[in-house]
Order: sequence, then C-alpha cells, then structure tokens
Amino acid sequence: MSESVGRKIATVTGWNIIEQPRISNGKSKLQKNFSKYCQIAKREAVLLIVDMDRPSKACPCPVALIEEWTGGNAIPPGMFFRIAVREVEAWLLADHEAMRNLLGGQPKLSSDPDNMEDPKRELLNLLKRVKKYVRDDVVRVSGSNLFQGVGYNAVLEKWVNDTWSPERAAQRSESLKRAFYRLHG
Amino acid sequence: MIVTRLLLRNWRNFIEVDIPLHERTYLLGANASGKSNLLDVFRFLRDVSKSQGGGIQKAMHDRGGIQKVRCLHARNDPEVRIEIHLSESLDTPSDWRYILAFRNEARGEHRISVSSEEVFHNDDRLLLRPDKEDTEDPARLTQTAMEQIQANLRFRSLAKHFEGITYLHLIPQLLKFGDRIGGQLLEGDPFGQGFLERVAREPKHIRDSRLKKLGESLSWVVPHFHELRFIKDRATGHPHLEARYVHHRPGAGWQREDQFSDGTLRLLALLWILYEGDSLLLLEEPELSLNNSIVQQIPLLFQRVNRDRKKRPRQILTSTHSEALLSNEGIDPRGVLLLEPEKEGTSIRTINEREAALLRDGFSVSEVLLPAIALETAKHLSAI
Ligand SMILES: Nc1ncnc2c1ncn2[C@@H]1O[C@H](COP(=O)(O)OP(=O)(O)OP(=O)(O)O)[C@@H](O)[C@H]1O
Ligand SMILES: [Mg+2]
Repeated sequence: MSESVGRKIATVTGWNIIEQPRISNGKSKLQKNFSKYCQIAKREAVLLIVDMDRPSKACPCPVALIEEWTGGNAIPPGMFFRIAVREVEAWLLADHEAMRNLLGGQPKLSSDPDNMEDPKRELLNLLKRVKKYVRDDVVRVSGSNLFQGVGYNAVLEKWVNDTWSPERAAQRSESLKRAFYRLHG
Repeated sequence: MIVTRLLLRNWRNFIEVDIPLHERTYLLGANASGKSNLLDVFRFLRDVSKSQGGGIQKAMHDRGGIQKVRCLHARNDPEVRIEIHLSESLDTPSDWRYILAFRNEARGEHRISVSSEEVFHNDDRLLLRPDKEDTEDPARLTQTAMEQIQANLRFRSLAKHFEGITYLHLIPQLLKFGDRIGGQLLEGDPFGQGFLERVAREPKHIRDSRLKKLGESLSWVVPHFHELRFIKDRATGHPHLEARYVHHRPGAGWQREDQFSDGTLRLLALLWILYEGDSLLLLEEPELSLNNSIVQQIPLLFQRVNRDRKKRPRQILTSTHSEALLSNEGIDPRGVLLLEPEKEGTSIRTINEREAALLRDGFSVSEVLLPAIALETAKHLSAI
C-alpha cells in the first residue's frame, strides 16, 4: 500500500519514477536495506515511507524512529525519509472526498486521522459498509473479527492511483503535509 | 455442496489423516510431501462414481492396483479407508457422510473387495455394507453401491457431486501442439488438452457471456489484451479461440490460441474451468508460467469468480509452492493445510495457535509458513 501511495505522491509532485531496484514493501525489509537506499540517495532521490506504528518504549515518536534507523548518521540530501503517523492508512482516510467516492453515502470520517489509535482497523470498519459487490473483495469477516480480504490491496491501490489526492489528504494529516511539501520543494 | 472434512487411513503416503476443508483450501508442502496424493483421493472418488466407465475395480486398476495405493508404512492393516463429510454450505452442519474401505480379496482373482461402505444423511443411516446379501454373495463386494444406479438412488446427489469433481494441471504446450503430437486425451482431461472442445460444447449464449467475462479479467492482467472470440475453422471444423490486442496495426487481424503466451493460455483455461462446473475443483500449482504480480491476485480471482457465481460458489482445493500467491494477506488462514513429512509417511495439519497469532499480527501465510517448508527441503538438498 505504501508503495502505491509513494508512487502517487511522487507523480503528483512531478518526480520521475525509476523501477530499479524493485520498489519494495515491508518495514523490516526496508530497514534491512536502509544503508543501501542511503547509497542510492547520494546519486538520485529516494522516497522512503515508513509506518510509525504503535509507539513503544524503544521508539516513542517519529524522531526516535528516524534515530533508530539512521543510527545517528546524517541522512543524505537525496533521501526523503517520511514517517506515516500511525500508518499509511491514516493518509488514505484523510482525503474525505476520495473516501466518500470509495464508500458511497455519507460515512462518518475523522478530521484528525494522524491521532487515530488504529487507522487500518478504522478503514476496515468503514469498508465493511460498502456495497456487497466490493465488500467481499476487501474485507473478510471471521466470527466477530474483521480482516483484510484477498482484494484489499488490489482495490485500494487502484483507488489510490485513480481517486485519492495527496494534496487534499494533506489538509487533514500533518505527517502527510510535511512529506508532500518536502517533495514539492 | 461443499466437502467439509476428510479422514483417511493408509492412503498412499498418509497413514492417518483428519482435516477440515474450506471453500478455498491451499495445500502447502515440500516436493513429494503428498499434495498430489491428497488431491488423488477426490479424483478416486470421482472415478468410482462415474456413471460411465466408473467403478472401484477400474479406479484401482488405473492406479496400478491397491499395492500402489495402500500406504507402504502401514504394518498389519491391509485396508484403505476414506471418510468424507459434505454439507450444503460452510455454515450449515455437515449433512452427508460417506465411508468407503476396501482391501484385496484374499483368494481367487485378488480383486478389490469393499470391506465397508456407509452413507449417512443428517445422521440417518442410508447404507451399511456388508449387508445380508453381501454375506450371501461376496462377489457383490467387488462393486460399491456408489457406482450402481440401482443402489445409489437415495444418495444420487452425492454420487453426482463426486462425478462432477474436476482436476486440472494445465500444460499449455499440450493444448497448443495437441494436433501435432497426436493429442491423445487422458480420461477426465487432467492436462486441459480438451479445453477448446469444452468451450465448443457450451451453448452459444453461455459461451459468449463467459468469454466476455474472461476477456475482462484477462485485460486486467495481460498487457494490451483487448478482445476474445470463439470460432470454428471453416476447413477443418476445429474450434479455436482468437484474441485481438490494442496496439496491433488496424488490419493485423486476430491471433489464434497457438500464438497466445503460455501464461495467457493457462489463465484462460483456469478462468473458464472456474466458471464451468459446480463440484469441487482440484488445481495443481496454478502459479506456473504466470508473473508474480498476477499470481498474487489468484486468490482474488477465485473470490471474484465465486462472487459472479452468486449462490453456487465453487469449492477449490489448490496445491501451491508459490510465495507470491501466499503473500496475499487476505487469505483465510483456516483454509491452509500443511503437509509435514515424517519418518513414516506424511501428516497434515491446520495452522497452530502461534502461527495464527503471527497472522493476526499482519504477517502473510508465506512469511509464517514457508520458512519451515524451505528448511525441510534444505535438509534433503544438503544430503545430496
Ligand atoms: N502407497 C504409498 N505409500 C507410501 N508413499 C507413497 C505411496 N505412493 C506414493 N508415495 C510417495 O508419495 C510421494 C509423492 O507424493 P506427491 O506426488 O503427492 O508429492 P507432491 O507433494 O505433489 O510433490 P510436488 O510438489 O513435487 O508435486 C513420493 O515420494 C512417493 O514415494
Ligand atoms: Mg504434485
């Protein structure tokens, strides 16, 4: 998901996207390769979007997360290292117009998604109410629990690409706003 | 109808198996762990129940006799036993139960002899064999009741369901070059060679609406793919599929299936068969010759076809080695079965509590379950 969001932001802000090395998903994979991305960032621009996730003792805030990844070393100028608070789903929820387009009707949407406990859960709960045709692709209900469905990524990635606007979403998410205007230059 | 549970004793490399099945079930295991052997149980039930050319003698003969099928690890127990539970849907309690056990005749021609056969419907026993007549005439035990029209009247719907079971291990080359290699069709067409004939057999309106749907799904994954049509060659009468692509020059015309890419053909046949029947579908490694980004969407493909099929979702049992397929985080972990080779035979299990917790944490089936299988394989490789 972060990958499509990153693509969309980079496209809107006028960057050229080169597909090598393979753009990857997964926080631990990214962290493992962090020093390699820093090498690339000496020559080209690199956009890295990482979910903040639940704050922990070791990592209470975005600054601490950056500290943990860089080990205190300076970040090369070509590196755009952005933290989504709490996670990239909050950025999706921040574009109300696109959300309404996705969900239909008049869903109750938060005006401050950066401060949500669990944005992904929130998004799944909202998706539970979409018309059945889409619902069975994007959510899976198991007993009283709600999980992402087999088409969650496919459907949302298409929606991010076609409908979601980082500019609109930046109006409600501080962390996205900063990412967006950094890239906008 | 949906198969909800399967119990086995002494079937190929399984001494004892008791597993649940879901609407969509994935079989995971190292090479030679027994995935195809497990699928073969259902093919066997189909072969027994076929109204033409079926029956237990032939089904066993085609498999090289009971000595090939009975588990080599089984010590004194000469019997192979299959028990299968079915229900109208996943949410209703299982209403059908079929039990079939057999062994070799001790004397004479050493034919296969049914040692017990039982059918239950909603806990009513509809069949219990051997019965009095069987005891009087043991030759009767060379046939199952399931294979006899006169005997299966009260559970005909069960026999029909078994008969409708489809197995597919599609090999595109056999389809493309069928004419040239003298295309002999195996029974049940496991390799999909007869795919075009199946398309031809469908009434025109069903064929057209299905091809339209397939075209939509294909354009979703095959670059520049535009349109699909069915034709019969004027000269030979052979059925063909033709496709048109967006960027071909205007007069470029249509391409025939022998020009399709392997992946396009596999996907086409796979989609067609998903729409085709009603009974259980057995799929071998649907990931072959497809790009990972498509493979990742195979679970979504299954889901979308079943959505189109509305009230009659098709049950699918899939063997797979694919990391990409299993990286789809939407897969229902209850539908995942692990085959674990042991010193004697293979055991099958569902995911355990620890694994379930990892999946709830947001890891995918491929991240949680494939490492152990890779380790198993590595152990064998290091012995080479
Ligand atoms: N009657 C039997 N008793 C014990 N083992 C058997 C019996 N019949 C077959 N096998 C074993 O089963 C194994 C083959 O299993 P199978 O073909 O189902 O594997 P698979 O999981 O489909 O592997 P692959 O991923 O390579 O397709 C072989 O090692 C074979 O020795
Ligand atoms: Mg196999």
